[in-house]
Amino acid sequence: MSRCLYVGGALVVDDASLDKVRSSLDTLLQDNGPVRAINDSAQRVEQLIKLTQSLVQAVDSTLRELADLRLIHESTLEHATEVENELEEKNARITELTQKLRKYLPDALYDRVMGGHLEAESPHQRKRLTILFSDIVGFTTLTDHLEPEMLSALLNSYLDAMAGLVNKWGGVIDKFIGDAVMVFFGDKEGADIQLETEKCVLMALEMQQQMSLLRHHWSEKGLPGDLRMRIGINTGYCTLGNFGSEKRMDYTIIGGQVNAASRLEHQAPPGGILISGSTYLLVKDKLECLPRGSVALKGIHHEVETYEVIGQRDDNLPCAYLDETEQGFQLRAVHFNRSTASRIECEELRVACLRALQIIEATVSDTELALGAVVDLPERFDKPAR
Amino acid sequence: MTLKGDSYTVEYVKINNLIVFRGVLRLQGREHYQQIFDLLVNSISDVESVLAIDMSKLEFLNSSGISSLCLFAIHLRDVPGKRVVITGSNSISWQAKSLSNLLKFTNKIQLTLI
Repeated sequence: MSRCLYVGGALVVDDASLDKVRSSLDTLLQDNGPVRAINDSAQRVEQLIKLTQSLVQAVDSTLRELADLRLIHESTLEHATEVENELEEKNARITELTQKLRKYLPDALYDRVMGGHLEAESPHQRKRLTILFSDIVGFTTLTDHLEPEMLSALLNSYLDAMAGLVNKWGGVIDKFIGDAVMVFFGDKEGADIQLETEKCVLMALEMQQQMSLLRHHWSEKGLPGDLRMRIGINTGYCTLGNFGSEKRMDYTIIGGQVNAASRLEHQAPPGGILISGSTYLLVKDKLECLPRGSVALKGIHHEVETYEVIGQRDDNLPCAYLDETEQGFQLRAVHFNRSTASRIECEELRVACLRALQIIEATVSDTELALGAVVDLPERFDKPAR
Repeated sequence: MTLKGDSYTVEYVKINNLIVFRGVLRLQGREHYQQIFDLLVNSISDVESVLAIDMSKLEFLNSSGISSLCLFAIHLRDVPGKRVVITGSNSISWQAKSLSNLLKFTNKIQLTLI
């Protein structure tokens, strides 16, 4: 076992010896692998630290960008949702408004407007149309005597009923002027003017029938029950299109033939329908009419042949005053006034009464036959001739 | 300076440090908003401290438009000493929600809804 017994003392080294030591150390550093490796590793660690620091900075920056992108994405989505909700609300509002608009426009015109087939700049066109004017006789005088509420109830029920019929028959309500109604037929694409004219005159007949029901209704409510409607119908070429100012347009018809229809209406008997010769030629196969001679109409250069419509030629069509049922029939209440009844009313009543009698006779006949008796039908109860 | 489209205008009123948006903005894609984005960026560098943006007359802005506004808010974050005051309208339903979202990007935006 060795021990250290002395520490300290002087070590005398000369320059030559020191050089040797230095040289030995240099050799040691140059030749000794582990020491060099340690040195290299330290440098690599230092590089790694720098690389890691730059990576952390890049990741941090990317994370910030990602956070921003996520925020942009969320903001855009929320914005899109808000806009979609607003769009849905506006769509609902548009639907509500178009439904209201539908009340003010006839179906045919509504479809053209909503379908985008009717532009304000649409060129005007010449078309052969059938024009109807209707008016209540003495209505203007009545407006001075009736309370506004009563007048409003009367006028609204009348116009509502007439507008319903126009829509039912596919006409276009051009305008309401107080109690007057202006309607035309034949505007549809590829419309057959004969068919459209028949529809127009059949509608006029139904308007008169409706008027008799309204009179009954008004009487029950204490309103004037003796109001009569006049109708004038003409067929001819008119100019059709949008007329008016830039801010207020009317889809309407103008021309001499329109004026002629209006003049015919003024000449029509109360409760009657007066049609021109050109209209008569298109409906004479289906409708019973009486010639009323030629008349000079203001604004029309030549005299116009006129006819008063009496009723339909087809016996099997529904009758205004009689509802046939499986069990029999029901006659509607009628206040017949000899001095005011129109030809149409008289004809309708005659047909209703004859049909009622036929049904009654047939019932009697069946009963008699069942009892073995022979029944002779009187001639006057034969099928009505119209 | 005014940028005009068929349905919109974006006007920079330099004297008032104000940008006014009007109409309906539905440009297709971010690249079509570049001009408007550049106007915003140039204006914020142009003003001394506060840029006012009036959106109360902008009826509609599509998704690309709101993305561009978000990018402008991000840009504003890195511009020292500048702020933006945005005026929106309560009667235009998308503005309350969408313009409020811009505040999430930076506290340098102030929003007023009228």
